[in-house]
Order: sequence, then structure tokens, then C-alpha cells
Amino acid sequence: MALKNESLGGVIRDDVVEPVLRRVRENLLQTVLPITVLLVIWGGVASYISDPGTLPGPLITFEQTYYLTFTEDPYGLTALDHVRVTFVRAIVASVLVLLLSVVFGILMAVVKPVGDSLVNFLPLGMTVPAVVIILLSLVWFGFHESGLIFAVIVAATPFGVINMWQGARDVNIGLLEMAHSFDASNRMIWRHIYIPHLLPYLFGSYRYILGMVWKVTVLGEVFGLSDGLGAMLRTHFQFGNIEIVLGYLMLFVGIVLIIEYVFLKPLEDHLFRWRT
Amino acid sequence: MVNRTIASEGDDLMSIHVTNLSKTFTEDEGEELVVLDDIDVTVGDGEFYTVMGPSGCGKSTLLNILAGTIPMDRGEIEYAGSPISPTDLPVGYVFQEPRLLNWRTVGENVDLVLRERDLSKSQREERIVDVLEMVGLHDERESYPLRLSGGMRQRVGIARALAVDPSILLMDEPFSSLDELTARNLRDDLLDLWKSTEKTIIFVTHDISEAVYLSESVTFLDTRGRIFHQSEIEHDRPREPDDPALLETEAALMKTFFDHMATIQSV
Ligand SMILES: Nc1ncnc2c1ncn2[C@@H]1O[C@H](COP(=O)(O)OP(=O)(O)OP(=O)(O)O)[C@@H](O)[C@H]1O
Ligand SMILES: [Mg+2]
Repeated sequence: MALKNESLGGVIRDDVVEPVLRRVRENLLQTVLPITVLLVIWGGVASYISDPGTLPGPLITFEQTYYLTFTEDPYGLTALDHVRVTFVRAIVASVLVLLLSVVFGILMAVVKPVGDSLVNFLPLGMTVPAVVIILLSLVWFGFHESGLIFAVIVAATPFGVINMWQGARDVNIGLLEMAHSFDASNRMIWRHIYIPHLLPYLFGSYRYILGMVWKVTVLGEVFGLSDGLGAMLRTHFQFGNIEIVLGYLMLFVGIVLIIEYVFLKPLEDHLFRWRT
Repeated sequence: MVNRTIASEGDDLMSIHVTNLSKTFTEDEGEELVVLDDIDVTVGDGEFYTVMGPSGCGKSTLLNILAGTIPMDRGEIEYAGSPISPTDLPVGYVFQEPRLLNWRTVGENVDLVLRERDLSKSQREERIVDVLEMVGLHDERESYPLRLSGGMRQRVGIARALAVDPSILLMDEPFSSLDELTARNLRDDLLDLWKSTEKTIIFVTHDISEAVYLSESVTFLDTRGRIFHQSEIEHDRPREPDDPALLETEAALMKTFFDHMATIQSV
């Protein structure tokens, strides 16, 4: 066991590939079955319409994805490069959103006046359509990356803050009382009560934020940037290349699934193993 | 069986004297709620002292004050012959719910209350092993609390309280959420622990049979925040839970209680 683990390949096999395969095996019904059903329906509808310009079938689409992934466009970029650009933007933005959410969520719970006043503004932030935020911010900050990231932060932060605020308020008073009765210091209380208590909320929030950030980032790229997944979708949509649009989409979906099943889920399982 | 004698002057040195203790809460609507009204409590060294009373009469509040988690409004506490602030009383607290950190193992839960005491790693290790042994959970050290039964979780709570090696054990209805069979086992184990460790136990319950079965002395609090009755329970040990003699004592105490409640309600 120890020997097997020594090489990097071994580590990847044991710690990444194995758990993923195990999860697929264990959830065969929940993973493979719905995907198959989806593909069958898609294929059926596509062959019924039999117009690849409106709805290309799965086979053409995946061929397209394969082709796009490995072929350079006139600027020397493959689909993978564009998705990577979008990916980096989304990660940067989502981490910033998460930080803001943690800080303000906790602040709202700890400092009552902050909570009382922000709670009135958050619904406002949540109801303004993302498109409006994107357009305004691109106009104000220019049609490039910084404008886009600003828009994403404005659009997603209120949701994250609400989530973290909820978590911070849900801390078990009984545990705090217990800690005080055993003379625990504030450091101990933060390290062993607040932080572990908040961690599941942090995870939940990040999932939610990331979903939101993907959408807003791509939308922003559609409106105002020249690279990234959104820009490609716009270009190919304009030329009516629906199979290329779907080809891009599949690549994107694949990457999002990999992030979920290879990184987030295993990390979550490890961190929250105490939940029976 | 050890025959305990009523503490005499000589070995009463470590006793607790609470005098004129008062506590008033201001409720949300601004109303004042007198929870403890000028009460006096004396608990002898090594005594099993039980506080009884109806729900909401201030039993938990009394324990919280002794544990130093809420301040008292007025009153003095004397321990081992000298005045002491409640925050300095050497207590271990066992709650009605186990109040464990579900994200830490049983061993870590115990270790946490030892971290900030002047103990070396090996001393802490020894304590953890000791107290888990005492409550019969040495095999569960690496388990997470959510995997244990309710009774076992309560045992972890007791182990944690014992870990700080307190002279006084505060117990707030520790068995009230357990089924009767489990509760009986835990009561007997508690009596064994009490005998072997000679700790002072201040125990809160609203179960009269539990009080009579366990205690040397039972004190009644009423809803006005006063102590209205105190009884020494002098039955020989080991006691039998369904012994008619105990049932008789219970009935007599219940009568005292209801008579008193009737008088304060009719005033
Ligand atoms: N922090 C607080 N602020 C305001 N009121 C409080 C507070 N803590 C307790 N009280 C009130 O004081 C009274 C006594 O509470 P306490 O918890 O001591 O009762 P208890 O005797 O332990 O009751 P139970 O048997 O139900 O546990 C209750 O009416 C309760 O609502
Ligand atoms: Mg109580």
C-alpha cells in the first residue's frame, strides 16, 4: 500500500481515480442512467427534427467538441484555451465573492447594526437582473476583464452573504455555553466551534456561488469580451453554427462535472466524514 | 459498600456555601423575571446534592452561575472556607444534551477541555485514557459522536467533565432525554463514579424517583425563585429503584411539593 502510493501516478490512481470510479459504481443508477436517458431523448428529438442547423444530434455534437478541442482558430486558440480563459475568470471571481461573503456574513451576525441594515439591501442586490449589472459595469469599467469580474462580484455576492449569515446565526448556543463553562479561550472557540460549524455553509455557498459565477461570466463574455467561452458562443451563434455552440457547451459541461466530482465532492466527503 | 457518614466539621473544609444569591432576567418585553430570590445553599464536601423544581424555576440558572457562564446579581460564594468568584470554582459541567463537537472524535472532545490547562501531552493522554475508561468508552475513542447512541454520548459528556478533574460535578438533568433502561445503567455508573472519586455532585432533575434514588440531600426550588424545602435522604445504599421504602419517601416529598405549590398559587 505504502509502496504503491509512492509514485505520483500511484497517488493520482489511488486518491483521485479510484474514488471517482467508486462513486460512479455506487451511484450507477443516479449517474449513468439519467445521462443515458438524456442522450437517448436528445438523439430521438434530433432525428425527429432532422435539421442539424436547429438541433444537431449528440454524435455530431461530440465530434464537434472533439474537433474544437484540438483545432486552433485563426488566432491560434483552441476551444480548450477559451474555456480556460473563462475558467480562470470564474475562479478568480468566485474566490473573491466567497471571501466577501464570509466577511460580511459573519459581520452581519456578530455586529447587529450591520446585520439590520444590510438585510434590507441584500434582496435588492438579488433581484437586479444579472444582465443589467453586466451591461452597466462594462460601460463603467470598460469592455474587458476587470469590468466583467466586477459585474460577477456584484451579481453573486448577495447570495453568498445571505448563506454565510444564515450559517453564522445558526451556531449552537449550547456549545458556546459548554466552551465557556470549561474556560475555553476565544481562539479555541473560533478554531473548534465557529470554523468547523461554518465550513459546511462555506462549501454550500461556494457551490452556489460557482454556479452563479459561471453563468454570469459567460453572459458577460457574450456581451462584451473578445475571448472566452461566451465570446465564442456569440460568434458562432451569429453565424448560425448551432453544432459548434453545442460542441462548446458540452466541453464546458464536461469541465464543470470534472471540477465537481474530482475536486469538490471528494474534498467534501473528507472534510465532513463525521456526519455518519 | 462504603458507608458514608454525614460530613463532620473536620472534613467539611471543601464545602460550598452560597448565600443571598439572586438573579433577575430582563425579558425581551422589558419585564423583570426573578429567577433566584435570595437563596442559600450549602453543599458538603463529597455530597450528592440534588436540586428539584418545576420547569422554568431556575435550576439551570443556578448551575450556570456556579459554572461561571452567567453572572449573579447579588450573593456570595464561599468555597473551602474562603470567598471565591464562581468563575474560579473547580467545576465540571454535564448538560442535558451531550453538547459534543460532532466534528471531533470522542478522544478529541475530551482533549479539547484539557488543551488550555497546564498539562503535558502525556498527562493529557493519561487523563483521556482514564476518563474514557471510567465511563466505559475506551473502545470508542476514535469514533465520531453522531455514530454513538444517546447513552454513549451522554457518557462522553461525563468523561469530558471528569477530565478537568473537578472537585465539583454540575449535572443538569443529564439522563432526562434517555430511555429508562439506559438511564438506570447510567445512574448506577454515576453512583460508582461518585463513590470512587469522592467528588461533590450538584445534580438537577425534575424526576423525583431519580432524586431519591441518587441523592443524599434534595432541595426544592419554587417558581418564585425560593428554596422551600430540603430533605436528607437517609436510605441505605445500594438502593433499589423500586424499593417501597424509596417510593414512600418519593410520595412524601411530592406531597410537600404540591402542598407548597398550592399555597403559593392561592396567595
Ligand atoms: N438568558 C436569559 N434571558 C432571559 N430569561 C432567561 C434567560 N435564561 C433563562 N431565562 C428564564 O429564566 C427562567 C429559569 O430558567 P432555567 O433555565 O434556569 O429554568 P430550569 O429550572 O432549568 O427549567 P427546566 O427544568 O425547564 O430546564 C425561565 O423562565 C427562563 O425563560
Ligand atoms: Mg434547565
